[in-house]
Amino acid sequence: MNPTDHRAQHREAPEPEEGTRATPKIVLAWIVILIIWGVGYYAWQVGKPLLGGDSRTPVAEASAPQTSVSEDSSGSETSGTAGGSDTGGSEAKPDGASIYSAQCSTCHQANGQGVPGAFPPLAGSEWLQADAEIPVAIVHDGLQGQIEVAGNTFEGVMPGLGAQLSDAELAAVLSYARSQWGNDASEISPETVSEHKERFGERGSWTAEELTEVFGEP
Amino acid sequence: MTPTIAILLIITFVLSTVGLLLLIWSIANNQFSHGQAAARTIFTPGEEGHSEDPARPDDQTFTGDNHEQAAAIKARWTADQSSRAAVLTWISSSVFWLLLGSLFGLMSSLKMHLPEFLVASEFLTFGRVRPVHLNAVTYGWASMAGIGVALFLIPRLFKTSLVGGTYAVLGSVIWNIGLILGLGAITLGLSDGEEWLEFPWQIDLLFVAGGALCAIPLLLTAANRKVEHLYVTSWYLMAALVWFPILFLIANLPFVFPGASGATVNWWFAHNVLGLWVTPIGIGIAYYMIPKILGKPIISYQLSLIGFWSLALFYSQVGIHHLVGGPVPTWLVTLSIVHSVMMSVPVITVAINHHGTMVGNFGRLKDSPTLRFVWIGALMYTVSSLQGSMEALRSVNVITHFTHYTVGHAHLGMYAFLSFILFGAVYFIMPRLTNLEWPWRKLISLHFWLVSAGILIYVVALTVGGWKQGLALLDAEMPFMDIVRMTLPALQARTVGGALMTLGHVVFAFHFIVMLLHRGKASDQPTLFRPAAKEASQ
Repeated sequence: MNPTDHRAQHREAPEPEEGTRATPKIVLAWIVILIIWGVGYYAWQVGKPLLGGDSRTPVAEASAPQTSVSEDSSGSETSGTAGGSDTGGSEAKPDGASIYSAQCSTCHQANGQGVPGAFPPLAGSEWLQADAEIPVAIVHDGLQGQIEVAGNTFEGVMPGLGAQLSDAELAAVLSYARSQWGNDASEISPETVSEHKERFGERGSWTAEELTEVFGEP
Repeated sequence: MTPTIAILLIITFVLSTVGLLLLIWSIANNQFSHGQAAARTIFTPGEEGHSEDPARPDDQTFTGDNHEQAAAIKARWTADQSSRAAVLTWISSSVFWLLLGSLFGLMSSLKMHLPEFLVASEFLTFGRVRPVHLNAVTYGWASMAGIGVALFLIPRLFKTSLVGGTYAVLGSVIWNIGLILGLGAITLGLSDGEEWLEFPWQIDLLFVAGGALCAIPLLLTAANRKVEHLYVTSWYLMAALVWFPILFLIANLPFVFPGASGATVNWWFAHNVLGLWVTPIGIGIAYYMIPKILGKPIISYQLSLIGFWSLALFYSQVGIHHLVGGPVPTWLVTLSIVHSVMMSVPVITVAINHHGTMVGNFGRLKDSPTLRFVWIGALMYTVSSLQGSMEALRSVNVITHFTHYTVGHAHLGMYAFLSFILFGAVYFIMPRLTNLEWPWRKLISLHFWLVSAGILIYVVALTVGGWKQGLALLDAEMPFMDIVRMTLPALQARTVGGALMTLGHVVFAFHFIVMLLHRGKASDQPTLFRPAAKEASQ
C-alpha cells in the first residue's frame, strides 16, 4: 500500500460515535404534550360528520349571506328579485342565491361567467332567458351534447337536479339566475315546474336539438 | 366518526406510543450499563479522541504514525477500495439523471407561465414532462445517489470490505435500464396514471430486481461486520433499504387497489418514499458527515434512539393527509393527521442531535464544502418537516391544499434537505475513491451559491404565492382566471430559481466528470472554500 494512495483517508477524523448526553426534559415534556393532544384530537372528532375533514363543504353554504352583502354593496341589483334573502314578501321563499352557490357555482362560477371552453356562461345566455319551460327542462332533467351559448359552442354534460330540489327551490334558483349578471327575464313560479313534471314525467337529459324541437328556438 | 372508532384509535395510539417509549428506555438503559465499551468498539484503538478542529489547539494530531493509527487508515482505505466500483456507477448515473431531471423540471416550470411553450409535440406536453421530471429526480437522482452513498458508508460503518460489489454494479445497470424504459414510456403517454407511480408496472419489476441486487452485497457485508455496536447511520441506511422495496412492491401491485383504495395506497406510498426512503438516507448521511468532519461525537445516543424509532412508528401513516377532504374514511384521515403532528418528535430529537453537535463549530462552515452542504440540508430537514406537520392540520390544509405552496414545501424537502446532503456526501466521497482532490475551489463555491440562491427564490416565491392562491380559492366570489393570473409572478420567480439550480447542476456535473476522468488535483490538502484555511479533515 503506497502512502500516497490514501491521502484523504489519512487526514480524516475518526469514525463517528454517539455521546451519552441524556434526553432533555423539554423533549420528554413535548412528547407527553403531543400524546395528550393526539388523544384529545381523536376524541374531538367523535360525532363529526364523515366528510374526511373537508371543511370546504360548509363554506359553500355559508357564502350565501356574503353573496347578498356584496350585491347590496355593489348596488347593481334591482330590488324585488327572488334572489336576495332580504327581499320577498311575508311568505317563506327558498333562497335562490344560496341554492345557486351550493349547486351551480362550481361549474357556472359565482359570477355566472362559466369557464371558457368547459362550462357555458349563464350571464347573457339565451337558453336561460328564453321561455320559462326551457330552463326548467334543462335544470330539472339535465342537458348533454353540443350547445351554442352566447356565440360559443360547448360540449358537455349537465346533471338534472329534479331529484334534489323541490319545485319551489328549482323555481327560486332559476328566478335568481334569470335576474343576475345583467340577465333580465321573468321570475319562474313553482307551478311552472310542476306543470313541466306532469307533462314529461321522469325523463333523461335533453339535447339542444330536442329542446328546440319541443319548445321552439330560444 | 363514531365513538367506537375513536376509542379504538386512542387505544392503539396510546399503546403503541407508550410501548415504543418503553422499548427505547430499555435499549438506552442497557446501553448505559455497559454501553461505553460497546460504543468504543467502533474505534480502531488509538483513533479515539483526536480532533481535527482548526479552532482548537492541536492535541495529538492523528497522523497515522503509530501502529494502531496506521491500522485505522488501512481499514478505511480497504473499505473504500472494496466499494469503489459500485459507488462510482451508482453516483455517476445519478448525476446524469440529475441533469436530465432538472431540464425537464425547468421545462415544466416554463410551461406554467408560458402555456404555449413547446406544445407542438405531444411528447413535450405538460402532462408528460412533469412526471418525467418527478421520476427522473426521485428514482434517478435521489435514489441512485442515496444508494451510492449507502454503498460507500456501509463498509466503513461495519469496518469491513463490501462483499459482492459486482452485484451492486449489475443492479445499477438494471436500474438504469428501468429508468430509460420508464421515462420513455411516460413520454409516449404510457403511464399508470398515479403520481409517483407513473412507471408502468411491468417496468417496475426492473427496479425491484436492481434494488434486490443491491441488497445482496449490503446484507452480506452486514453479516460480515467487524463491529458489535451499530452506529446510528447504519440503522437508518439499513432500515431505508429494507423499507423501500416493500413499499415499492406493494404500491405497484397491479389490479389490487382500485378506485379510492388506489388513491389511499398511492399517497401512502408517495409520502413514504419521502419519509421511509429518502429521509432516513439523508438523516443517516448527516449523522455520519457532521461528526466525521468535526471530529466530535454526536451528542446523544438516547436522542438517536428516540429519533429513529419514532420515525419508524409514526411516518408510515402520514401519507393520507394528502387526501384530507377526499372520499376516504374520516378515521383514516384523522389518524394520518395525528401521526403527521407526532412526526415533530423524531424531527426535534434529530435536530437537537445534529445542531447540538454543531454548537461551537459553526466557523467550520466557512471552510468545508461537505459540512456546509450537509448542515444546511440537516437544517432544512428540520424546517420542512415542521412545516409538513403544520400543513397536515385541517385548518392549514384547507388553505394550502391544491396550491403552489405544497410544491414549494416538496422542494424544500427533496432539494434543500436531501439534495444538499447528497451534494455534500459526493464532495466527501470522490477524493476518497479517486485519491485526487477536487480541482477548483471556485467551482464548488459557484455550485453552492447557484443552488442556494435558486432554491431560496423557488421556495419563498411558491410559499408566498401559494398561500395567497389558497386564500383566494376559498373566496367563491373570485373568478378562477383572476386567481391564475395572480399566481403568475410566483411562477415566473420559480422559473428563475429553477434555472439557477439547473445551472448549478451543470457546474457540479462538469466538476464531477473531471474527477471521474482522474483529472483531479494530486494534493495532500483537501479543496476547501477558503484557500488560507487551516486544513482539516474534509
